[in-house]
Amino acid sequence: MDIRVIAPVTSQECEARAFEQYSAGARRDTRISTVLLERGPASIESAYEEMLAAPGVLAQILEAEREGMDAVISNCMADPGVAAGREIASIPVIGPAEASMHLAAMLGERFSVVTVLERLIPALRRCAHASGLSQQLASVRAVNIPVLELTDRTRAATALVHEAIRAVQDDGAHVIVLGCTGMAGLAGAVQQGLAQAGINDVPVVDPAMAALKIAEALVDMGLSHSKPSWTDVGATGSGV
Amino acid sequence: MKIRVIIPAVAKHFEPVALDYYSRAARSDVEISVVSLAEGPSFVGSLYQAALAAPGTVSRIAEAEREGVDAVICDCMTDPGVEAAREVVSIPVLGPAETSFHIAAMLGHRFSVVTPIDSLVPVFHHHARRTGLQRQLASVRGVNIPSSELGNEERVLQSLIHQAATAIRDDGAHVIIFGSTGMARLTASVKQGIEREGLRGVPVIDPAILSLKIAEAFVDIGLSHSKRTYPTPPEKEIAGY
Amino acid sequence: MKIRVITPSTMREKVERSLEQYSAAARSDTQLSADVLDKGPESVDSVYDEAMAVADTVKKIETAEQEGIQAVISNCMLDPGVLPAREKVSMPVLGPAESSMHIAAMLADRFSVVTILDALIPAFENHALKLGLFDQLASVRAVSMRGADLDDQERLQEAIEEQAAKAVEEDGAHIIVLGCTAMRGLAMDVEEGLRNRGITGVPVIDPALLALKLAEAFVDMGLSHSKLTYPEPPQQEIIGF
Repeated sequence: MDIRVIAPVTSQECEARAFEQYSAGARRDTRISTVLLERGPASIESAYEEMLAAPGVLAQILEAEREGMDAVISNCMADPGVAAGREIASIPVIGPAEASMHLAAMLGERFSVVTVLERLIPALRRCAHASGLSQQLASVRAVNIPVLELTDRTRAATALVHEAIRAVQDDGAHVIVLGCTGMAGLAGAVQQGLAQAGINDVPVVDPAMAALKIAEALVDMGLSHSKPSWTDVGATGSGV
Repeated sequence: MKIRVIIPAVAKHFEPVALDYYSRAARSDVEISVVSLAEGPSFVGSLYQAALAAPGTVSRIAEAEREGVDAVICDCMTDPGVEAAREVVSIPVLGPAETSFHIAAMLGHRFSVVTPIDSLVPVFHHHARRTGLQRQLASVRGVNIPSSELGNEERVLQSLIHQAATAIRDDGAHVIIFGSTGMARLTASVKQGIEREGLRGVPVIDPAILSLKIAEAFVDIGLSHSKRTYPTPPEKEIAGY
Repeated sequence: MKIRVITPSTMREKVERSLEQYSAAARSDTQLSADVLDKGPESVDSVYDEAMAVADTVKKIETAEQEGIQAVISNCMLDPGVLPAREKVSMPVLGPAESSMHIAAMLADRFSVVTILDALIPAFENHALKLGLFDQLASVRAVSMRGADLDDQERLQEAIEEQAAKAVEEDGAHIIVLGCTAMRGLAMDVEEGLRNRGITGVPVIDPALLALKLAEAFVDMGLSHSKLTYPEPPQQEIIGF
């Protein structure tokens, strides 16, 4: 199957890393391809930037379906363009936030999301709430590292472990969700860090992998989103 | 007090219509101005179109604050760009869907949205989830009239009345929200229509005028959104805008 | 327009005090009047007190409508008598708690209420739950002050600020709702006080003034509560009232 991963930003580095991460996690019979945006922000850390990214993401979703992709992923925890994307596409359109939170809710009584910046906490809470998962959201925490600085993997992992321990010990989390797709690939390190602190068997969900696996599962099952939930406005909408 | 209405579409012909509509309802000490977009879709009736309209809408809202406007209203029931705009400005930014949902929830046990724009039906469910008011949303009903035939106002009105009455009788709605700002002038007629069918004492909310009144209220008492929830966006490289 | 503020207390001096309080935000064309109770408690500091205040509050609200008043506000954060009164009258009946919680939920991710006594915390939590806004309630905190204590404005402001700061820093609140209408005129000062402590971007809502603004908005729009939710009670003899 062919899965398109949209890096909803202009950063080539982000696109390259997404390709690496998704390819490493994909099944042998899954072909991963990635694209980035020409028009939009370098990274997404606010509702404003998500808003600027959305039109480009939507154009790429249309393109993905036209090129015969089996599913498309908008690789960012703001799930940019996902809801609107379901109006214009029939193939599965997956957002890592929705995917990872639903998965986390299946893996434990309560989960915490550890994201990059404090300013993103309301948006992630809203995602959990809109997904009907408020009762299971223990907390949302932030490592206070901007997305583009996550390239320092050691620093990122250390900060993540610190917040994950607080989430488990102070907030009652039984599952941790990495709250930024820029943290993809760090789940193992976080799990190790927790074990070193004596916290075993707390799953750490990588949102990129969650999106990927759910996309693969849906394609396998021949399932996609329900059209009554997202108005079908056809491939080009109107007046654009 | 200066309040600006943003029409989140390339629809200059609609500006005078909106100006007249909002001005009539505004207080005597309120000055209304209306702008539309230079770039974007010509109509917004879906999340997709709202996403395409958002950048231009947010830009207009930022411009309004720079020009000393006290509050802005997004003239569209998809509330396009409202959250992004709240990060960019400090003045109140009113989204008619969010506003009418909260006020409807204060006026009755459950509310239904009745809309002449069928494509908006799923969007209202989406809003209910996002505002956390799903329990209070009894139903969303569309008129089942193709958009090309919405010019037949009498037919649209009859269908709206029918849908509103059905929402009350069958879906348990105690309050009706008129699900469009562009055609909100029909709100009073819908209320009269359901009253003629014996359904009295059911508030029917005009989301456009309501947004205006709430905007006036906020400016009066110096209330606006929290900048903790909507902090100024970080300084960043943005291509193509 | 004519709006009446009814304070659920038998203390006559609260007539003047409430008029002064609400005048701060009344429109120039709003005629404010105020009333207190003939029967009931001196102040509402508990759910028991509220129960003792309800019947006469409802009576006063009914009288107001008979006298041609167009909207009333039940001047107390337990919203005493609001729901039963809506069954007896058609004009808008505003509860400051309901009004401020819904508006707070529109303006921020989460809100905290800072009230007077710890014993009232469950009442506020239950109210938020009932309104469907529990997920947006960060916390309810109390200043542990009542009665004449509340006249010491400086001490009261200091206490509110302390609890508000904790609500933001420990509970995750992005907006504060003053949880007692006796916290008169302090919203702006508390907001500034928080800023002086380095806590920015947190609006503070004065529920009394907000309820007044919503009342004015509703009267402007001819909007009121749904009679389907609040139907006229069946006729029966009620002894002693």
